[in-house]
Amino acid sequence: MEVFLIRHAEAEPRRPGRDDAARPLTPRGRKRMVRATQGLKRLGLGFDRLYHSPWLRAVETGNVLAPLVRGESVVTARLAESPGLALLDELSGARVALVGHQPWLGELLALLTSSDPKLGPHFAFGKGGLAWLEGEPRPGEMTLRALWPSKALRAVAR
Amino acid sequence: MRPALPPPKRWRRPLDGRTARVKHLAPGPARPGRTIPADPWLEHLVRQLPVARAGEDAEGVHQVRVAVARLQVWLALGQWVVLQDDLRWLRRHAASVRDLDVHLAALPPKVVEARLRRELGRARAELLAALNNPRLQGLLLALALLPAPSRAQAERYAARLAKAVLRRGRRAFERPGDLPALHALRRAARRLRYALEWLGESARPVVELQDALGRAGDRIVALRHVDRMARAGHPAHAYRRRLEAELRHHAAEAKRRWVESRSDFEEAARWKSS
Repeated sequence: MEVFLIRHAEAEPRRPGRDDAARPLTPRGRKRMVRATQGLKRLGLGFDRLYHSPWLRAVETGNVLAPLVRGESVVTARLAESPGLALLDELSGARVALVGHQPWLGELLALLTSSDPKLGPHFAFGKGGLAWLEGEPRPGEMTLRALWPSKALRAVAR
Repeated sequence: MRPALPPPKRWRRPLDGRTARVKHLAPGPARPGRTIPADPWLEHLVRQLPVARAGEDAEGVHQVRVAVARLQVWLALGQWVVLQDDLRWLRRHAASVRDLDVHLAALPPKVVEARLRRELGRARAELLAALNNPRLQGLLLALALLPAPSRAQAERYAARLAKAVLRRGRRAFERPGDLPALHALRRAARRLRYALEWLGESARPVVELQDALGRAGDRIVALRHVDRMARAGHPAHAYRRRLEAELRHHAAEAKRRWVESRSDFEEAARWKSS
């Protein structure tokens, strides 16, 4: 299986009194995500399934990525918490994209490549960035093929 | 299609045929505003989920299906592509149960009834698993967080749906007996009705067409059940003939409604679409 971990694009900052889950993308974040998606398309990348967190910024990011998805999109609250085996058990398809949040995406990347989610902070996972993994979606069973910042994907789109 | 919407249904006929005061009151017509919040039908869905889970009142599953169908249209009004599959997933499970409930309420022959009840047991178990799946919690949270679409955006979409109804209506009634085309028209009419209701506009002509198509659609679903039984070695020839006769009658009624209300759809298709 190929797994693409994608962090949501730039979102509006936290504000007192506003639910963190309800923060939308900024206009710049949305525009950049559109460009990054064009970059992915230019690279010939598409997904069998898209899994995304229910938080607004991840839903919006997933909506931008939707043209690259051939199959179903699935909302899962497991992408809005520390990663575990339950999330990995949910995955199906040959090439799947997961849209989520930090620090959990970094932890998931570390879990899949080394079995140790505590190594998550070592991965530089910028907003709109993407990690491309290959192997069995079990702890320590995947290989990191690429870690691209959003900027690199946007550059491909030009 | 401009006069005020008919008053919300405060009474419904439950599946056992008795008229009863309902605990399933659906939201009334939307109030015109600059944006269209999902709240009324999202809250309705949340209220009906425990009723559907308990499984004691068939109306609960029906209301879940209705709320989900309306939310699918609401998502489309806001041009959301994601979450549609999640709603479709929930609706598929509710529809399996509801279709069997409706068929059973039509008093099929005993041999058919026994098989339908077994199928209903399986469909209910699958629905229950879906209702306990964390995907549902994620879906409800995501829907609650989405921004409301603007009215202008929704009006453009409604005009597109009216064009789709016109196109599918022509196709469905050009060749009598084209059941997939009739089904496609029913779905298009339902989407248009819900879009108009989200906008707080009158949907009376489309409701009348949809009701007639719905009666035909119920027979199509029942025929599918009967065909499945026949493949398993349990044909019900007389019952099949009865269903086919009823289907012809209701399809003719739908065509009459279609001819009567075509000008309303043409008007809706032109509506603010420029």
